[in-house]
Amino acid sequence: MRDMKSTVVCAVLAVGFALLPVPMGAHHGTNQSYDRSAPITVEGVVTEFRYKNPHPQLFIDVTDKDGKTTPWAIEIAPTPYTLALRGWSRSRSTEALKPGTVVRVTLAPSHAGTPVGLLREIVDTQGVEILGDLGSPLRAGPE
Amino acid sequence: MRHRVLFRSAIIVVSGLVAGSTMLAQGSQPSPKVSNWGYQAEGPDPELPPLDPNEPFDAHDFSGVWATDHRGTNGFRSMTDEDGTPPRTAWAQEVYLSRKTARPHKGKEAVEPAFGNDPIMACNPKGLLRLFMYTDPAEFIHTSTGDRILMTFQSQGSTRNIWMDGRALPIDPEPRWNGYSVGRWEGDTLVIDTIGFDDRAWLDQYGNVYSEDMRLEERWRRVGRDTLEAVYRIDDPRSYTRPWISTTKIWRRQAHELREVFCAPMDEQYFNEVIRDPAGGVIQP
Repeated sequence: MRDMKSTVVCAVLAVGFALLPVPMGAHHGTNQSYDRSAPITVEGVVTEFRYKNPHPQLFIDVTDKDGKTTPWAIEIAPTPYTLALRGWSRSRSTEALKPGTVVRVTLAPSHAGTPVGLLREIVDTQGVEILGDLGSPLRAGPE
Repeated sequence: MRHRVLFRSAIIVVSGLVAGSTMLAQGSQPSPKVSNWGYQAEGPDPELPPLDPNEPFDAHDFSGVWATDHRGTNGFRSMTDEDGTPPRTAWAQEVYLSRKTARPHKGKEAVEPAFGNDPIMACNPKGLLRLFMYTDPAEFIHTSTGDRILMTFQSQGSTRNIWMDGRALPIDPEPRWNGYSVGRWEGDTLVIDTIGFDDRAWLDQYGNVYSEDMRLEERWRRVGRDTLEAVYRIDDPRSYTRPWISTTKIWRRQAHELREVFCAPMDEQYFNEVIRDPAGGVIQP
């Protein structure tokens, strides 16, 4: 009986999520999604880095003390244009963030509690900053 | 005797004119060369040559790459600050409220970006005014014939012609995202009149409004080797009960060339799927 009830609950939740409206690619101002007042720091391994518009994206696997791995998707506010102006070209950035690189990331997590965040700082195992000073983009930046 | 005095005077005047124009030609320096990106893996960042405040410049030459200096606006990039927005007509107010954005603004709630409806997030054109309000630079290019000045925007790779050949504005223009522009010099001020706008573009990231009937006047001045000043004026009775005149915008010369920044729908869609939607708690089916 309990199993059936659990199954029904799961089914209802699944249907409910499936019915959530899916916007047709017209959202804006991603900063609004993140809690910049409560940044967190995680350590993880880079799985992918995309030096692309509208904002570069970093994907890392974070493993907790219980051995559970969570994939995080991280938005990088400065655009490739802005990064390049600061000396972080595509090749330099891509090399510094190649898959397998261990990084410590400080980010503003999503209000929704999903493993998505806005990058505030990223350093390598030597404590060297990657991508330069990312603090300023957390103020009102380009849309 | 009188003829000799006149002749000598003429010689002196002509010599003075020749010397003056030569000095002017030598003194008006060409605009600093725009650096390429070098394609080097690491710096140095391009830099402008050292600026001598007394360095002469051609006030009618806007050649180069310029970007609006938004410092001091606290991130609020529009014609004026929020309090400077003129009263909207009922039509404009209705349109304004229908535009959902995550950017906080007076009189309208910000929404989760996953549920916004900003058309640029589907790579629709920003439109001329919003390009002015953006952070990316633009380049002025004078044609050799002088018939027009091109203004190319890094954002979206958008370009507009500023026709300088004395033509009138079109009588019945079709709506254009960047409008149709004609320009003229009033002394050292470049005055640009633009009509024929597509009203689906947002004026700024807050969803401010303009109609197809808007008449935009821009007044540009080069005030230094590396500085332009611009004032934009909107006359749009369909949207505002009075003209909206911007604060003076400062455009600063950039040392580097424009970068290619098209809005590629595939990039935008991918970003929505992996970042924006999950960040907003929206789960794709």
